Amino acid sequence: MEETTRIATRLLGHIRSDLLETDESFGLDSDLFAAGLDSMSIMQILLFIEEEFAVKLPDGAVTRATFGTARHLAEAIRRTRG
Amino acid sequence: MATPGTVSVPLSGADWFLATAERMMLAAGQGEHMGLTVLRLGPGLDLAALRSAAARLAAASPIAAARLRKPILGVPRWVWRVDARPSFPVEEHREPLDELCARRLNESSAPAVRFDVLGDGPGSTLVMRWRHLLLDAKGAELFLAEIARLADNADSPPPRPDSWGPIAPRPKSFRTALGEAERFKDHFYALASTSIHSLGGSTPRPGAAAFFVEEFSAAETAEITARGQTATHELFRMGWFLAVAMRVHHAVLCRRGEDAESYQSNCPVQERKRGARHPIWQNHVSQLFFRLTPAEIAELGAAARALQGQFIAQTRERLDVAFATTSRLLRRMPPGLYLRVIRNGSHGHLTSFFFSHTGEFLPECRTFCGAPIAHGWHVPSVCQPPGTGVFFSERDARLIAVISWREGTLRAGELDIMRTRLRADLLGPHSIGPGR
Repeated sequence: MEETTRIATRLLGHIRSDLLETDESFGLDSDLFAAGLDSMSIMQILLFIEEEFAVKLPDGAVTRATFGTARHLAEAIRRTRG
Repeated sequence: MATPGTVSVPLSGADWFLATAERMMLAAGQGEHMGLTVLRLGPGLDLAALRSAAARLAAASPIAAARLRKPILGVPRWVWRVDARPSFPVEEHREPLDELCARRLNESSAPAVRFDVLGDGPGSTLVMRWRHLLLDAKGAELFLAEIARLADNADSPPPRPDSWGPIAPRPKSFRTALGEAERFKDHFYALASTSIHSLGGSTPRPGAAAFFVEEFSAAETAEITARGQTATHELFRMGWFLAVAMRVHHAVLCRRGEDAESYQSNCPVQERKRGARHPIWQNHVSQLFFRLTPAEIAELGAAARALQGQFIAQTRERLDVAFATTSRLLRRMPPGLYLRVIRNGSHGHLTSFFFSHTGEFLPECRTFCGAPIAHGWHVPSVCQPPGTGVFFSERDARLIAVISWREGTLRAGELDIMRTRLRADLLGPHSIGPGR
């Protein structure tokens, strides 16, 4: 759980600084799609994950549910790492 | 370039491309490049609040006062006087919506932004006309969102002056910029290895802007979404819609007996952060460029998957960044030479057709100046060449498709061919029928 939170926090920092304009209340469990996530920003997140965590999410993990929140994404990364 | 009492900012790369294209349009008798945004509203529109908000935004915004200035080999800039007191007119009318839209789309000159309100039974329809040189479609939505915010908050100040500036980050060095430009050039000339046709032909001609709005119900949109997801990934739907637009044009060219060696189009990529309120002016888009051969277009699902693959490959290579850097470098080029470079690289046509899917329309607002928003869409106009475009957006899970063209581009019956192919591809062959 601690590792998931650490990964999610790193992801959220990238998303907020480079991809989505969000307010201070936007957190690890906030809805990324409601904040404007689109196909281009999804691709940029996938590239960031590959560069930052050295992980390529399997096709089956690239779903709307996975990209719903930073925490869901972090869980997918942790599972893929094994 | 700024003199006392004036402010200036550089044009974005997209601004300068549009300025160059508009120069071609003016020389050909096509007029200025205008866009419309239509809001269908429920009852309760507060016209006084709209006028007040428009006046407050006009006082702070450079849009109404900015003039283009370009040294021969320098970076072009928008320049405006700080004491300018421009306005965004608000007028009421009683005429059919399509007639008003056609009239406004084909009017040139100031003002850069204006509003027209049509009474429509218990509700009303608002049409915002904007000059594409100064605003892109997302910017038009942000403009409306800002009007709505100011109307709801009479004491709220308009955006700060520093929020009007450019947003694209500069490359780390000139060498980096040249490397990016080289990457884009390789991609551009690889595309140019196959020829293209456009429905309007490569020689610019006079012609008024024309359009057709195809509305889809919530049930139809759900069916379209389901069909799209059988062909492409649920998170990457752009390929599906671009494939449909390519097949719409393929159908017309085949009917003419003029099938092209390839179909190419570009897809705008927003440079603003998603969810940002600013910047509300200038064009902040890069582009990705796509190509399919007629054989690849023959089957819709295969075409959509091929375009999805191109999208993923190009975003992995960050060709959107490479194009944005290239277009910024090209700002120094005189417009005539710039246009020649683009036309030489596209067999004279610029592109086979224009395309965009701007996603959810105006997600920032549920109401506008006291009235609930029932629906909304953009009506972009296009230059010729290429002479046509297909543009998609959604509001509350209802898809809108706008076919836009220059008069003289489509021959008798060709709009029907386009609509029939559009509906058949989106909904399946069983559901062909007139829309709006």
